[in-house]
Amino acid sequence: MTTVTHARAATCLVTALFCVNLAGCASSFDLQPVGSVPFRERAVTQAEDGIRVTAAVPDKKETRELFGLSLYKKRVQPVWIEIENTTDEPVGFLPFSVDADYHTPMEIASLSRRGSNRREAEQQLFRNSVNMWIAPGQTRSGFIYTNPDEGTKAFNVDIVGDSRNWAFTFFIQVPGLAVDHYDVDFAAIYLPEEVTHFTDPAAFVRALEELPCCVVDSGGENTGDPLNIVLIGNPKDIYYAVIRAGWDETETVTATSGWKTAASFFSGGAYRYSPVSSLYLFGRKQDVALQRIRENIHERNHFRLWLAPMTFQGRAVWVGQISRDIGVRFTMKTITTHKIDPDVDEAREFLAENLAYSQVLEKFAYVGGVGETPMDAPRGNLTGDPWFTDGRRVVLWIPSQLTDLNDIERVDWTTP
Amino acid sequence: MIAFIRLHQKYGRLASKPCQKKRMENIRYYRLLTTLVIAAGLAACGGRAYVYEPVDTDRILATAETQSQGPIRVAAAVPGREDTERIFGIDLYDQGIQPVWLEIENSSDRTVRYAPVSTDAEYFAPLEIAYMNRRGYSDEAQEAMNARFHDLAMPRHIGPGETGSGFVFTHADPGAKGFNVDVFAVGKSANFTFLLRVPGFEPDYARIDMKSLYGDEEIVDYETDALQEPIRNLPCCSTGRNGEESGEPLNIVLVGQGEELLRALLRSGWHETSVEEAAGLTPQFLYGREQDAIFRYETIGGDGFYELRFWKAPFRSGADDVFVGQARHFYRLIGNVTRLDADVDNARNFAIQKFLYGQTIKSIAWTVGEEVVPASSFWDTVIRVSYFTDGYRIVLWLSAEPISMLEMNIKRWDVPPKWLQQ
Repeated sequence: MTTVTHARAATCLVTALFCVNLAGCASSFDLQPVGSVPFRERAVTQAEDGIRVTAAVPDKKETRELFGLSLYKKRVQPVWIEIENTTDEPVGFLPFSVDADYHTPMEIASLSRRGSNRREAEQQLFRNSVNMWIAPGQTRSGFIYTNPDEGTKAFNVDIVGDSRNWAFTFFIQVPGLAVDHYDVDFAAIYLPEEVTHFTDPAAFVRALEELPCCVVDSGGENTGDPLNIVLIGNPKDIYYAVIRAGWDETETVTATSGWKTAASFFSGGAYRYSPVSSLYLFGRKQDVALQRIRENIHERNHFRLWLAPMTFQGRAVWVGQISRDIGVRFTMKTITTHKIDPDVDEAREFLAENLAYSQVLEKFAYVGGVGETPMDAPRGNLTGDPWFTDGRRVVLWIPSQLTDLNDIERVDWTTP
Repeated sequence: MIAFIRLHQKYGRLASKPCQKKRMENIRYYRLLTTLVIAAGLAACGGRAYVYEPVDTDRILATAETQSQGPIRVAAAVPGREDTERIFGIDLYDQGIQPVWLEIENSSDRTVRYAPVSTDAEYFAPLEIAYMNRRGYSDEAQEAMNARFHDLAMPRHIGPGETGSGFVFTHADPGAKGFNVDVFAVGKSANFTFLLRVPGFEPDYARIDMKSLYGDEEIVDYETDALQEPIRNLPCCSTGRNGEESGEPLNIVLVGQGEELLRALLRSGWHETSVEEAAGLTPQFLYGREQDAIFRYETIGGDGFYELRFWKAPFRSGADDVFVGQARHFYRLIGNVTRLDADVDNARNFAIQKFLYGQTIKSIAWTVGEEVVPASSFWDTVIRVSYFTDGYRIVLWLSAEPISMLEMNIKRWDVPPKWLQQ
């Protein structure tokens, strides 16, 4: 009986692989007119002083329909851009601003495995790419081929003129990724009477220091990683800030995402939106989980945030945990888990600097609450990894507007 | 692990007869794997000791460069591969990790903060490196390694009147190491830029004595704007060794003093090429000699690279030298096979943007050249040529100090290409 089941499973697997192979085998281009696929219904337009920029990002399926090839599988994401110049001077568009490692039309055409098709694709892709130069009164549009982002695509569009420059920042949601925080209704987490509104810093610091030291498991019995970050800012500003600072949203655990993680685990390749396990605070799992990939899936920085039942001087307060994954190891409970850098303060300081250099940090301060834990007497997280810390939490104010590095204010609550 | 091997043996048994040979190979593979696992297990039980030498501060200081701004003094040095191996007992360069040694003296009356992300936005954490290298070492050795990396790390906070020193673990750069060191006090910052030679790396241009390339009487001196004429009159392209075979267009010209240009190139993210690497590349010729220098930028994900080749020209403008060059883009076809991107204008335009975002362009000008192979006829030619171009050349006056895009001076030589094309 067991053998039969295995044989069936094997047949299924072979069939599945065969199908996947066939589907992935579309090896030549079949370019369709831009208007034939309705991805521009999600287009975003911005305008300033005579320059109007419209941008749209086709998802995996739409890209396949537009190009005939699965460009996403080749780690290419086309971005459609239209620029209208109603000023009286010629302007130049800088594709570098959208992606400093953009792909060229010739490079994209080389993805076609059929020689004759490649030549035709070269011409079409070249003519459909965005021209850098826009004359007065002219409107130009086309594709630029970027490195892919799922969830939210964040990019700049810089335009240069003789006498002035224009800088636009776009955040465009790309369908196809079930992002964990899209389901969270932040406004409904707490009843109005459950929220404490702080205006006095001393009382606020006390409240922050009285929060639990660490996350817990679903049963609330065992304590894990330290709660070492506090963010102050409204959901929209926090969201823009982390995307701008290069953090990826996290996919909720679904059957597909499990497959994707497993695939990148074995290949060491980068699946940037890998789901994370749930940790608990305020009796619920994290509201938002973000990650910032480094070399491969084994090496990334993870941070989880919970909306706290408090505000400070009118802004929402978020409590969180950050750690740096430095590898994968085997465990009895979860089979594999990320090994964290025991120096958790290092990851905490990285986040502060990462946000500062992305110009999305307004002020910062330190408070206590975790408890000092020396390197030679570490505490452990839920999967048994040791960690040590100076015991502080970093408090980061997230602005609604970009803040220059030199304008960041240090709030003196405790000395680092 | 045993379960993993069993699983694979089971699938091996399911293989059909024509796969017999493959199956035998698989079984051999699993046996080998099992042996390796056991060997690794044995090694882990005992394990090596962790051996390193003390940090020779004098030796490091001898190669260090020092800069000061107000009350902040920073000394920086980059130990080469061998010194690094001595200090950490591990060949970090082999893993793409390059330690940068810093010493920061704070003579102010407030604590200052050094930001490692200013030196490398994706720096490695000290204990991360120790963890990556733990295999084969005994438990005691692993602890010693943790302590070593943790203790030698550059501290972030430096108190008033104090001096902090240590290593930041960056991604290894081929060639000279250009990096920033930002130190923050309340409401202000000190920003340092270093460009340090790394022992053991000789760039390709070091084989040339730029000063003796031409005799004084051979070099023509032009007023800045008069440079337009000799630049416009340059040949379209480089050539092969005997001067007959045509190479790719000379589409980029840099103007500035040698060291300044080098700093600008490195600050914009271009990397030097070593003498050995350059010897393995097909040379291009101009002025009867092969290129003086090659710089490259590899795009992320290993998709390809942009390459700049330069020749010092027999003309200058005052104290500024002129380097005539070509920008090309190569994309990866399969494996290590790369192909020249036929759209050479894109490579030129990419290079301009790389310099622009590196904040290195003081002035910029376009010159009209010969449109050798226009895009309109590229795909119609019977004999396949390797590129198409609008024939324009970009001329860039570069600065070693950061210059914002708004301060850039746009010279009115020729109108840029394609302004008026539909």
